[in-house]
Amino acid sequence: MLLITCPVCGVKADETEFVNGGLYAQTGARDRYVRGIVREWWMCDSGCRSWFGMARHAGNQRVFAVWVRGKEPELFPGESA
Amino acid sequence: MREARRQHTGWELAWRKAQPKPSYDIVIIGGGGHGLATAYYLAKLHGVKNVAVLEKGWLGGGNTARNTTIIRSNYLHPESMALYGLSHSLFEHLSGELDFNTFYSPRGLVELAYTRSDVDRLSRTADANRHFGIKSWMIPPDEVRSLVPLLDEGKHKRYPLMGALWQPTGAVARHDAIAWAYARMASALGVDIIENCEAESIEAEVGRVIGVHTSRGYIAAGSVVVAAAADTPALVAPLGVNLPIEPVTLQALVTEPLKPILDVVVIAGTVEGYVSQSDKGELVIGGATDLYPGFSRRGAIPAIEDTVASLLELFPMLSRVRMLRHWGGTVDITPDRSPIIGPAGPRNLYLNCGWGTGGFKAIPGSGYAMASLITSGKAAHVVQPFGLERFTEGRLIDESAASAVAH
Repeated sequence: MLLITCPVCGVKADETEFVNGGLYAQTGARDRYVRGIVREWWMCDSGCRSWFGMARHAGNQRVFAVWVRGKEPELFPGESA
Repeated sequence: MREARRQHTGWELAWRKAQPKPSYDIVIIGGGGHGLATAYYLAKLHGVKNVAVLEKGWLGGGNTARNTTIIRSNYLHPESMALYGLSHSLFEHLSGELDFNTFYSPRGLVELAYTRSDVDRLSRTADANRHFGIKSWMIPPDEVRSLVPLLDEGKHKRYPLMGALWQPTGAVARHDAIAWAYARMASALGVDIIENCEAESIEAEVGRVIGVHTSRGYIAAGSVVVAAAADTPALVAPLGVNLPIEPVTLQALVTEPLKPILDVVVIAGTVEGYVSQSDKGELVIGGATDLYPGFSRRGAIPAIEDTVASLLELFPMLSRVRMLRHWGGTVDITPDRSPIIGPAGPRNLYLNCGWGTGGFKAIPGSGYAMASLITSGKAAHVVQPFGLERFTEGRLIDESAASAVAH
């Protein structure tokens, strides 16, 4: 179960309070799902309903970062196209 | 009996723990049901025995170990009915053919209809089935009640039962036994089964595959079959093959053992749940996938809660039953919910993946057809429609309705 903090309104909740919006296109980020870090769009469904970016490991579910649209963090070690 | 008297000290290995040779005619990546069945039929029907099956974990430990064991062939399109129908009929005599008890139980499948749309969808499927030669038909509520006495009914229900699709040969089987049976026979016929051997990359030269780099060294190969479910895209992407496959977690659970209360397989698409009762008395329950892609195999309780809440609407008497065990697998979902089978990319590379939530029932048919495809060099007619090129040719085989739990 992912515990996600919305970077826009600060709501911290289970994955069931958010909606996944597929891969987040960013230079250097992966363009398909792997057992590694992927970048995705998520929407704060139970809160402010904004779309934001999230980097998580699709294998072990660890969340590495969430960011307001446009303010992406640098690539993490182990993350590449 | 003999082993019971000997304190079980005399059991022999069901398949040889083979050491990888430097080369094989055919290397199959993926030691699940589909890979093992392919190896068996290659050896048994085509005399091709210089074959290795590579499994990164333990044999059959992927989706073959994690499904809810339902076997049926009530799909919508003739291409699907040919493939799943072939598989279904191979299942019927598999115990005899493989000399291994698969616990095949053709107890019947009831696919419930609670809305007008369910009735339309299932009638259309049943009509298509009969037109093709697969025996399934719609039954009225009274007959459903006699088959599934547990169903809760009455004026208090929001949606009345409207009937069901009945496939009398719908079945369950012991999923691990299928993997072990194929492995044992294939190994006895000379196929090398190599566990704890992860394929890291596929080597190709001048437009054809030549070998596989593995965690246990390089293995040269005349042909390579990738039957690795959601791990397939990563293996073939470097060869220029881009697969429209998304990995998603699908969970399932079993309850504590109960006395016999359900002697058919029940699928309830309206509420996205399916259930059968195992020989040990456990209810084997499954439902919809998790709502976002991933490889974690973990899933979380909300998906299970949804599935069970739905089933409790149908069978409220189960509300006190305890969940015994719960697990997840990674299903490889394609855009049309149909598998991807056939050659791709460099010559002598074959794909068998994309089975998504419905691969277990197809194991025998898939292996049989795959072996024929590889040895004849032509697309066996049963699998030809499922080639990767269908996505660029606009020939999708849309089975999202017939894959029971539309998602």
